[in-house]
Amino acid sequence: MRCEELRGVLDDFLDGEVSAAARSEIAEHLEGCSECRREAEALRRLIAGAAALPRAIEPGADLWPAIAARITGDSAGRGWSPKAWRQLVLPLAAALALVVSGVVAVRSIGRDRQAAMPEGTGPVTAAAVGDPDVAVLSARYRQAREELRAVFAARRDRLSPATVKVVEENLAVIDRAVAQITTALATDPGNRELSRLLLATYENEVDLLRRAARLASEV
Amino acid sequence: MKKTLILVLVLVVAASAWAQESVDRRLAASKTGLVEIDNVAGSVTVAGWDSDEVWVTGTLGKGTERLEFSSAGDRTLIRVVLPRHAHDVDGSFLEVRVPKQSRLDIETVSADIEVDGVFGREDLQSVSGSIVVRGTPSELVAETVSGELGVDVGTDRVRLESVSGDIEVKRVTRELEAKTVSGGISARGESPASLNLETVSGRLRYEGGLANGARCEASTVSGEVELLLPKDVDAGFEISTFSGDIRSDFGVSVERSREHGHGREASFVRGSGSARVIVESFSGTVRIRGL
Repeated sequence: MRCEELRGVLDDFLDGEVSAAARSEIAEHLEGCSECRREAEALRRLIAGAAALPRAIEPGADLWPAIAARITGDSAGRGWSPKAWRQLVLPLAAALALVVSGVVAVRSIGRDRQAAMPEGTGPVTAAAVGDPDVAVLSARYRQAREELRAVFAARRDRLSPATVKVVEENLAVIDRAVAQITTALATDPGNRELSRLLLATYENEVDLLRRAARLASEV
Repeated sequence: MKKTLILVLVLVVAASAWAQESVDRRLAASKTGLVEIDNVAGSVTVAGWDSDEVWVTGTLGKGTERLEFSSAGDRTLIRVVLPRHAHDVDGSFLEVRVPKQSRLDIETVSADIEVDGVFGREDLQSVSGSIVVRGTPSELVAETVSGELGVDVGTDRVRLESVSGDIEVKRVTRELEAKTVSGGISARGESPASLNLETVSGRLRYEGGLANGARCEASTVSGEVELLLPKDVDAGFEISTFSGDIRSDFGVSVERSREHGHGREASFVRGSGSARVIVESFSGTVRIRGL
């Protein structure tokens, strides 16, 4: 087994998802290849770290610098296999998902209205809950967005120009939407529908970037 | 001159045929196993059948290294392998028969995906290829970036996502979650229990009824939302938009400006208000029409 082949199946190996024969072949390779052994160890630590993430975490707070360092080549210029790369991106995506899951609760605020409204009632009364701290959540999304944009920028050359164009055009669509909603919020800061829409739009952007990063890691 | 042209044409066609490699291979497979298919360009067409075999036919494009086709335990792998740093590789066109209870995991880049008559869970992903699914998979998850998604399935749980590609669902059985950035979403259903449609700038359209207690949510920034519901629909409506219009055919004119701040809201109930319809828009027009 060659090094690059091994790195292609390393995450499956660490997850125990390879056949007994492949496991034996990989173990044999690792025994004789210090570079792949280091790779496996690093990946194992990363997976363990991702698994141990708390349920509420700011995206990439501790994880990102290490990931970014590796992306930018501080790992002695070693090439990363697609799967290893994906393994690096996924923890970040997982961290983002945790942020998003925290936001879901905020987005649902105001939707828990009376299930059955009397015929012809007036405007729905907002649920008796405090307003979400949209600014804090928006800042988290922006941070996550910047991190994922860095991932995308680092690997965009791996995607076809047509795909990059689609991603960029749609990021522009989202940016325009964010700008419009933000402007509207400035004139109507208490508008909770706008706040929810803003967070949903950020979520779309993060989701698009996450997908683009994943695609770039897989091709 | 004419004869020369014909001769050249024949040679070109023949050369093209020689460059392609035909595939016709079979392997025994688990009845309910996972079939994974990877193809970059061309197409992948999958159909379920009664045999306990996976059968691959088709052609590998010029420049393709090989077709990896293997089966181990519960998993069958079909992968079009390209040379490293491959350039100028033609698409491969695969037709695959799988045991009809199989689960599918298909990934392509620009290859189109078409699946029919497979009952296990289906995970389908393409970047720019279109995805068409028919039949009754136990669960369906499909994603594209710019490809179009067309779904006609009797599946309880369907989750679809695209960036710029349009999504069309011909029948929503129970739950549908569909999301795009700029692509449009169009769905029809009889009485689904859950609809969640979301876009940034695409157009959202749903036509059909709602189950008792159903929840229908549609969210857009600038796209238009159109819901065509039976005139006797039993649902409570909550519609809000910042700068778009709200138009309702139901004759319940309750639209009003927000009491505090900007925007418009409309809320009204038809029947006992069993189902809930929630629509949010920033600047897109919201239309509720009666069928």
